[in-house]
Amino acid sequence: MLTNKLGLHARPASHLVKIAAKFKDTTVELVRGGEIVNGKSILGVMMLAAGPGTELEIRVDGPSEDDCLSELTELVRNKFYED
Amino acid sequence: MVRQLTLLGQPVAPGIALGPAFLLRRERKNILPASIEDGQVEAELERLDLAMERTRLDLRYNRRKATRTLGDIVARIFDAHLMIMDDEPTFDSIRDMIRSERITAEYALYRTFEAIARSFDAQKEDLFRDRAQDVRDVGRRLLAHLTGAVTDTIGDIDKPSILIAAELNPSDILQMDPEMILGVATDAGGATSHTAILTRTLGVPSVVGLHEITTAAEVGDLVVINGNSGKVMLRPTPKQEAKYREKETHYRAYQATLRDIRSRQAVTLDGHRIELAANIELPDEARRVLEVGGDGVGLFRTEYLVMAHGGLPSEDVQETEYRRVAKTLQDRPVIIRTFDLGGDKAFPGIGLKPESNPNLGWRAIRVALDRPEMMIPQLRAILKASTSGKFRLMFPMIGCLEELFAAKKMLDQAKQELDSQGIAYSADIQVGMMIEVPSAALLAHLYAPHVDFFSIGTNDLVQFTLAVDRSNEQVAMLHQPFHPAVLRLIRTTVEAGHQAGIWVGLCGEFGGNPLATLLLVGLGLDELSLTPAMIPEIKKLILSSTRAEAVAIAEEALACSTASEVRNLLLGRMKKRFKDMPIWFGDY
Repeated sequence: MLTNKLGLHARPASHLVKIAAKFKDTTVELVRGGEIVNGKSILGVMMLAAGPGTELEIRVDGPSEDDCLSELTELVRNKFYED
Repeated sequence: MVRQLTLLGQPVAPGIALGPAFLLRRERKNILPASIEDGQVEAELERLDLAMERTRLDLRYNRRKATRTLGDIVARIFDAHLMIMDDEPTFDSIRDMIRSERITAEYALYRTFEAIARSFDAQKEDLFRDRAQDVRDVGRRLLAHLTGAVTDTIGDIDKPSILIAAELNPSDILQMDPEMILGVATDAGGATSHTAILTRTLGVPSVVGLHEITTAAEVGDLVVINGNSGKVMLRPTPKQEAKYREKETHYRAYQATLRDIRSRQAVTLDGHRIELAANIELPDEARRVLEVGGDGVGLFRTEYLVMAHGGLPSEDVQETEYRRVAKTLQDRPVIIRTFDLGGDKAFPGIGLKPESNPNLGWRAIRVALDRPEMMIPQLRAILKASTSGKFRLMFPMIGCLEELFAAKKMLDQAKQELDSQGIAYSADIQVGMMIEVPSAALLAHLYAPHVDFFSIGTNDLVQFTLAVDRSNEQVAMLHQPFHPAVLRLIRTTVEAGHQAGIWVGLCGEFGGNPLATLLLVGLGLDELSLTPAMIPEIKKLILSSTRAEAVAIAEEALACSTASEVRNLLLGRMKKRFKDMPIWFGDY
């Protein structure tokens, strides 16, 4: 769940996308309600328009999925280093 | 048939300019579906890659230029665009479209970007919805590089011209070469639009809100822009042209004399000093204050940080920005106003609900007091940064004593926190309040003992006193700062302040109106804070007059019954007294 103040706007979205993009052998998807977007696409992530308190599901698949997931979870837990 | 046409808009950057019209046409027509042959797919993909590379170079160049000329905050707009260029999944899907559907790169690009932009259009939050403009901006740039000439760009201007457009966005303005752009006229826009702020910073005469200039003007037309009065004249007759050329020459010569007084203080002929400060929004405007010879910053509107940052900046980011301003201005005072958000300056994340009367609603200090998690970090950031310069702090829209006390209590809390953390700050930082709610002006004597200064915010004071929403076109002309009721409130405030031994300044637009200068000096104001571009002219007026005559004019003005009477009185006096000053070209 997103706990940082403004949710997923440009700045935190870019942190997320940069991490996801690092793991070239792993796919990253963000799911919200019925929508699924590619976690490596800044536009995709922003189009989710996830405000604070949103529940997002992060799906990873690939050889580096564990590392990828733990880095992404760390980011969300640290409120994207925003606040 | 006389084809001459005069339009009236909102003047946002002063000066007079004449030149040929350059019409910035924004390609709005839809890119039509177009297919390619099987064998052309590879070539088409190469065209796309080339356009993408050119666009990236373009954006990086603009980003560097923005950092140099207008500062980091504007440069971040280009960072956002560069991030979009790095969106591999989106570009991969465009490539797939080209391969599988056999369509041109233009069409694939246009379809994709337009669809993305539209999904942003549909967002409820401003913060997300505004991204649509970024997406369209990048899309347009890419298309321009693909085809070579889909839209006019400012880079196409080949001789000094008057730029005419429906609207301008920051990336357009950044491309403006002051040598090539003599003036700007747009259909859209208001006094606080990007165009206004940025053309003022660049010193290019500018008029916005003309509504139909793009349809009325034709390429190559001679255009006269009067950035003081808001008049734009198309296709002037030879006689009119000659008259304006003379005014332009006169104006340039006058500007040169203004440069000479840059380092002087605004002191009347009989020795009375007025502090002349600047209203700024962007931390980078601080440099401009020094360029125009201002004594400091009388109003640093911190909301722009929120808008430029795309949301509430963290305490650390704020501290950095505030320190930058402090360091630029060194020992010149800087008055920072705490966030004046809500009302018509919305931003998401604090739970703003639609209001039927936003100007009278949950905004400014009311929001701040309800949201200590927003206010305390700002106060801490301001306090911390105060060690780098001479800061003063100011609370907006105080309407009752309780609000002032609550705000001061929050400031104490912030100070205590810093004390317990062993973090340094300027303990003697001056704390003031804006007088913009009429109740505060009427009871100024009750507030004066609790603050170090007052700053009169005439924009809102006039709105509330005369019950006029100045963004409402139907009643905007009723918004009259010269109204005797307003003048009386100013005087009451000044008297109460001086009685209690505190200084009183003014930071509304009214302060930048040369017609009002002597009146304001005569009413007893100690400080005027205005748009940097007007500081030299106002300084010249003060240097050329005596306080005695200012006081006399103020007395006469206070005896008038209507705003028109006041204006006519002042216009008559000022034109006669200062007949060589071209500022009267504007119908103040």
